[in-house]
Amino acid sequence: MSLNYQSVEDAELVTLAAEGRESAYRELLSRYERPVFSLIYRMVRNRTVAEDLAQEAFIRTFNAIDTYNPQYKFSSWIFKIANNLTIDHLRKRRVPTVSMHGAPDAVTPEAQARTSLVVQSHAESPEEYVQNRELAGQIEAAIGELREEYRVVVLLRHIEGHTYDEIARILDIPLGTVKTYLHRARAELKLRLAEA
Amino acid sequence: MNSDRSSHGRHLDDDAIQSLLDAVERRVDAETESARRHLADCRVCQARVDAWQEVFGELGQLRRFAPPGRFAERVLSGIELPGEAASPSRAWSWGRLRRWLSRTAADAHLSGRRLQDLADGALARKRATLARAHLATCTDCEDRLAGWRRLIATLEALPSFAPPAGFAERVMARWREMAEETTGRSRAARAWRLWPRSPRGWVLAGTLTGMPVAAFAAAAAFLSTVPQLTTGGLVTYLWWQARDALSALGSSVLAAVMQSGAAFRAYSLADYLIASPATAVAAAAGFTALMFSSIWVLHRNIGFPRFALRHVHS
Ligand SMILES: [Zn+2]
Ligand SMILES: [Zn+2]
Repeated sequence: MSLNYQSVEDAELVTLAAEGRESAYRELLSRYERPVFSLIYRMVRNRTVAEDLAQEAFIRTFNAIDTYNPQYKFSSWIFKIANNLTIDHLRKRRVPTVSMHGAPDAVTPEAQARTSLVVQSHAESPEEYVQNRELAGQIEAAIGELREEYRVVVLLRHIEGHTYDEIARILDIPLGTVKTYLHRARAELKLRLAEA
Repeated sequence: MNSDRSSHGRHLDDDAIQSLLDAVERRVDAETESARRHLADCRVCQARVDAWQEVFGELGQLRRFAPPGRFAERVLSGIELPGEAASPSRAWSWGRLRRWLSRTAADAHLSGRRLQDLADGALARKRATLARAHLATCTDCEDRLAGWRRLIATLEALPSFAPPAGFAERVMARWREMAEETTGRSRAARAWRLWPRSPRGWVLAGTLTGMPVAAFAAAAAFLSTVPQLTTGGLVTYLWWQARDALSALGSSVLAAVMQSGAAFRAYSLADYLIASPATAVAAAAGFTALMFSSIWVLHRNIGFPRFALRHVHS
């Protein structure tokens, strides 16, 4: 069956996916791999960890595709899953665990293996080289210094372009809190950029 | 430790906060300077300033009603204007009133929050109109608004990052692998469910398996106490007993079938079906439907690997 999936709406793609069409899953992946990875990457600021978390986010979304509620946007749903995973990860990382067997923030054995190599060699891996360049800018650094709650709101609003209501739903917080976080986050960014 | 103090001295009281907010546009003295230093480090007072700012913002946007004619004249004739010798308390209240009146004027500056919301298109239409009316007359606020607009534009121009090459392939492969694992795991889980979990379950399972074992053991123990019994004799005896029981069962079943007339009824039903093909077709259709629905129920409950079916579709 040759359908032009690019013109199909998200909600319909989800229905096709739930029916078992692998190409519908592939289309959802190609639509959301960039935004989901970008959000997680700017939250955890580590490419390897971001890839592992993004992969997990897609797998969880796909596994739960039968439970998708078409009342909400698919993008809100997948971002909610991605954000929950990211927050869980950041919370776990906050407990300082020093391990010789890989970075404490590596979420899978493979990631641990990869990061432990980096730790041992003390050399800059290609991934680190890329991410040091990507996140080195003044504004990226300022975003990185924001509290996680503020950071995710700024990213969802100004990089992913979600509405205030969507952000409230993704983060499970009241609309007023979304506004307050945005005000504070932007004020801090402005201050940091003025100082630099 | 006194809860009323932070590292930079006392918390600001409401008066201090209000004069601080006033001082944003007016003169700056030593007192407001120290209040600002405290504010920089104190989240408690920052939150209260935010709340006050919100109040001022609301007041700044109240509609002004024109008083009835000759209002000013009547007021002025009724009050005593404070002179040099006026009491300090009256001077204070007059100053406060004047300040409040100036606040309610449409030319009150816009708070940072207002400006941010305006820059982000998050202001309700009525408020946006009021804000724009002020902006048209105030280059100060206009500059601040431009600052927020620049920040938002900078954020919105940031690139999105592509995941490492082969990401989608890895996701699909990992997902397929997991789907197969889960199907395997759910079968094991179903078998696992039979395993007793509670003490009661263990008693039941123990009884069910223990009873036949105990019965057999008791029989063996009893037989071993009979000395004239040999193994060969026992086997022969059991064989005869079994053969008798089987033939008795067979003849009784046959007799029962014949006596109940079931065979006759089955014969007449077949005869009837042959006579009317429509009924026969309906019966066949019904039978087929039942077959398929039972297969479906089996499929739902045993759970064939779902991913294998997905491949067939795509
Ligand atoms: Zn304070
Ligand atoms: Zn102004």
